Amino acid sequence: MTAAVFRAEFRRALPLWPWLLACHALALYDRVSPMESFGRSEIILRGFAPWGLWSLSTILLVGSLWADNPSRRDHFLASRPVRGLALLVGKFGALFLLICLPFVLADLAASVSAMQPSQVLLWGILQTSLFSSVALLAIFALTWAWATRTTAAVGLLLAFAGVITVIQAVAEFQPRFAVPATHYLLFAHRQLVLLAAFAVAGFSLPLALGKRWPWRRVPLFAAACGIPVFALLKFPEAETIVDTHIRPALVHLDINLQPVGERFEDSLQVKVPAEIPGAEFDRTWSFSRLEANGRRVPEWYLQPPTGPNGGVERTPVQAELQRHFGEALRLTKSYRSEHYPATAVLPGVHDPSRSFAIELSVLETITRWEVVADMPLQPGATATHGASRWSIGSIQPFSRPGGDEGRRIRVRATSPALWLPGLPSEQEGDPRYDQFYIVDVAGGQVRGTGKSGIGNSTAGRWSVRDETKFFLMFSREQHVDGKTLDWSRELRLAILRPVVVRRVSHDWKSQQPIPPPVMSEKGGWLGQSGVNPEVGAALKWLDGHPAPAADASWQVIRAWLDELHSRINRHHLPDAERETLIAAVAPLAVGHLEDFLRYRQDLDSQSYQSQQIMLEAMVRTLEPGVIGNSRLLANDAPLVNQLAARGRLPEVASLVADFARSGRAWRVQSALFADPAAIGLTQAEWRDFYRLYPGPTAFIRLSDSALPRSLLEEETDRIIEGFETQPLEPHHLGSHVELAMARGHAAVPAWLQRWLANWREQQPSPSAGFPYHAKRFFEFPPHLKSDSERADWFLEQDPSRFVFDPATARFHLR
Amino acid sequence: MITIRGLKKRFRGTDALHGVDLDVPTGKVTAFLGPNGAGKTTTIKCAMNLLERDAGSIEVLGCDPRALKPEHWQRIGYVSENQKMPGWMTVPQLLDYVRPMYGKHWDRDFEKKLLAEFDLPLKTKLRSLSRGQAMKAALVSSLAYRPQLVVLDEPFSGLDPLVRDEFLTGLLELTETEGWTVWISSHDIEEVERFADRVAILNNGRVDLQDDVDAIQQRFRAVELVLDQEIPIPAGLPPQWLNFQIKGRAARFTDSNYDESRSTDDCQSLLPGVLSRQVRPMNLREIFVALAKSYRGQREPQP
Repeated sequence: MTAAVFRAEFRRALPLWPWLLACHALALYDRVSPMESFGRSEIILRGFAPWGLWSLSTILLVGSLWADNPSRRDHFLASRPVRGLALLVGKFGALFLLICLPFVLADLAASVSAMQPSQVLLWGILQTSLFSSVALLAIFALTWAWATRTTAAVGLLLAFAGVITVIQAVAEFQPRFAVPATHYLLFAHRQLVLLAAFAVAGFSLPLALGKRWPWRRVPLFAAACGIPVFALLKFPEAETIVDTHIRPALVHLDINLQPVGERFEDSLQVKVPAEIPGAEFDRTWSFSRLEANGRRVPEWYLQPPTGPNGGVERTPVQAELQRHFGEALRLTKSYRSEHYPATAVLPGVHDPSRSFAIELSVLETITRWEVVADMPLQPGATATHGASRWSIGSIQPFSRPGGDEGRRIRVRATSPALWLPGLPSEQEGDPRYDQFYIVDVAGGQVRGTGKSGIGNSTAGRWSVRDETKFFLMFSREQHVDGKTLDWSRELRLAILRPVVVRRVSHDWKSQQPIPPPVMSEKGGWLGQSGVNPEVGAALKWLDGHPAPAADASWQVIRAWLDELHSRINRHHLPDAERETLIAAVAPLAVGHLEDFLRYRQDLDSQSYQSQQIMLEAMVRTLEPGVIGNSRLLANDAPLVNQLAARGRLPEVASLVADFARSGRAWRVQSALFADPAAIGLTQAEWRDFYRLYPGPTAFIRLSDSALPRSLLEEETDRIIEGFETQPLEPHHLGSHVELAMARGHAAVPAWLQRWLANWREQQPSPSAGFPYHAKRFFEFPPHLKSDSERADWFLEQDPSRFVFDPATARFHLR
Repeated sequence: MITIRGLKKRFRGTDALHGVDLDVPTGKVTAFLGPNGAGKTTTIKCAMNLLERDAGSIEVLGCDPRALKPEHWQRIGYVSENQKMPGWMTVPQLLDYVRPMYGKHWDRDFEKKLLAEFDLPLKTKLRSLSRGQAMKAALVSSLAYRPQLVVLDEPFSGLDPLVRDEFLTGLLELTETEGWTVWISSHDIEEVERFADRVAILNNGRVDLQDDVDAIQQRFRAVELVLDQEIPIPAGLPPQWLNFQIKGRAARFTDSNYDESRSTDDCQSLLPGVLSRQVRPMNLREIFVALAKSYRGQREPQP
């Protein structure tokens, strides 16, 4: 009987199967021979291949299974001596050969054309076979469970709802499985376990609802539902190997409102005080775990980790290119990797009354770039690295309207995408983040693609990741030394891959509630009228409308404040008017402190003048005993900063420390710098603060008051390691240069001279003066009057003769 | 071969079968008669385990239909107008497909004989065959293994008279030569009268009558009386007198258990003014109609 079923399946598939094979051939052609041109008909034809492939496979599969579905009692097989196992084996064998095998063979052919080693080919065959078999069996279960189309439609919907319910229940214990409701349909295909659970639930539902086995259905259904629950609960969490766990004393934390349609969500950004490694490393940060108010935030809400930035101007990239191609490669402009925060959206709608208790682990991934291959920039050139292969397909001239000459380069990149034998070790690097650079070795120039280029990719669907990348590279673009690239020279294509060096987990827990972000209720400065009032309008109005008595109700006061607020010009406020308004408003704050505080916080960012008036009113009226008792003050950084600036730091010191310890030190920096020793932070907290917010002011203010200067110097040296001066604006040297000046780094005079010379070379007028921000760090001869004279004098000096005096915090000539 | 007792089935709150009792004896052709919607197909589907029953017991080939195994199905040939056939197959492909299911039971010679007798096109797909040809193809695939029990659910439905006649002739010959037990349902009584040994009449979910055709025809008589004057219907009529009517001086009824002497005595005692009395045998159709009217009369509330 098996043979008869087998034959019948082939006969049934005969009308459609050749078309399916044709689609496979077209898709294979598309993989191994990408488009050279983007003609409409070619795009349509190639675009049809995957659609045809999947739709024909589905039609053949579901059509065959539904027709001979043993549950259908209207089908002639229902009254025949059918042996279930023989039917299943016959069907499965035939459908595997008809539908799965072409996929396996197409994948194999693509792997062979990508010149993959035999081991990859073998694993590829096994992997594709296994995946397609599981999918095939799942579709068997899903299709054969139903007796009629109506039952199938209703049952599948119920099964889907059942699986979602099961997963939601499981997510109570394993939050990483929690998925936002809208994502179930969109991303269900991503998880094989979900598919399996779906199949099991689908298979079990007719047992539960049908009457075929009336007494067995309840335990069967329970058992069937139990399988995915058990599997999900026991499903091992993909563990990331963490080399070091660090418990930072302080973090940078920012909760913002993020509009989603009509509602708002709370989005969280966290930076951790990174222990700065050498400049040759790249770093990325992402949440590996996040708990808000005792509940784990599901992975869906965490921003996924991204690859390192492989731009040609990155210091780690340049270091590796120079290591590979030699010092002759001139790389004069570089930046270290930016410190991007780990971000997440906190589940649920924004609730203005909800404070947060946060517990988190931020994973810092430290990578280095490695030149994995380089080859001549010529059509047909190939390169290999392990099982990764690259071949240059074509190089075509391409010029922009401006006349900049460039090249369109097509590169085929292939690498194994095997999960069956285990993922490749991190030491081998991730081919997804490979970066491409054109190097003129003799001329010492380099051009980077920045990103991996556009092109078609088969990553994720097959056992070999097969990508065709198109790069448009121009002579004048992304230059690193100001010179255009000469395409007639002998050029090479270098491929860099990030390799994970170390992973550090930063584990932190908030010590006190973090207040929610504040949403303005005023609707903008201009209000509904949309008019910015004239200067003096508020004063005129005040003449006829004096402030209510201090003991009046808040409703009366609020109405009066609203009127006043709507008459204050947002750009300019003369001092006299400001003083009059402050004097009028100040008494009102006394009797209604909390309401007044909230009112001021609610003023939106454009209501600066109003905010300042109210802020000043509060500073003048707030009594010392009140500050510690007001809950709202814990979220009013401007007021705290203002009080600290007015010499009232002792009153707000504990509030400032609370701000810092709840991840919001960035909001009270001026208060922190007012008198660091008075704040009460520990040395570890100050060190982490400096790692989070390094800068010349921080260095100067913390030096020997909160942290020993030697420790600050050590931290600063690590931060500025590997930086070079950059040809930027005269008043913007770059934060690292200013930091180096504050620290008194010995290389600063040489950097500054190079920077000044470079700057004068580029300026039409050679009179560019000494940079404003640098002046305070140098002692000049008193006869020098202008910045231009100072710059001339400075350029004439031998930089090695400058020494830094920590006592005066200035460089002077030896 | 088939025994059904107290079979009940409900569809969405409506009783389709009210407790069917039925026997299909071995070696006989049992016609299962009844109007459309009487419950014939439901009864057969329950017996073939194609529908779940709500109550009652069924035995097919000595076992409950739910426990029918492939070995049992090798002895059953079931053809129904409602069956979904694989339309993409030709007749030979259909036979190739089902043949291995029956192993040694399949008779290739008999298959050829049936194919020849039914004169089926061999290269046309089933979906392109006419209704009669498709029914014949189904019949070939259900008879070629010489089943002991043949169940045919409305096999003549939709067939034109010529095809119906061919079909019937073929089936008649086969049942006679093979000695099969046949259970055939139809709403057309006259068709099955030609070959049925036994008749079961289903009406409104109940079997009103089941017996051998000869016995039924022996028992039922149409009686017509001419009276000397018009009289009202007398009281105390015998229960076997069905549908007693008087119009003018003529009286008519169906005697469902006819006996010449008893009938004569009853007429004389109940209707003394009888001038003449005519008795004639009834065909199955007339019997069925008489029974149906009688039951309807019993069910309807008396004025």
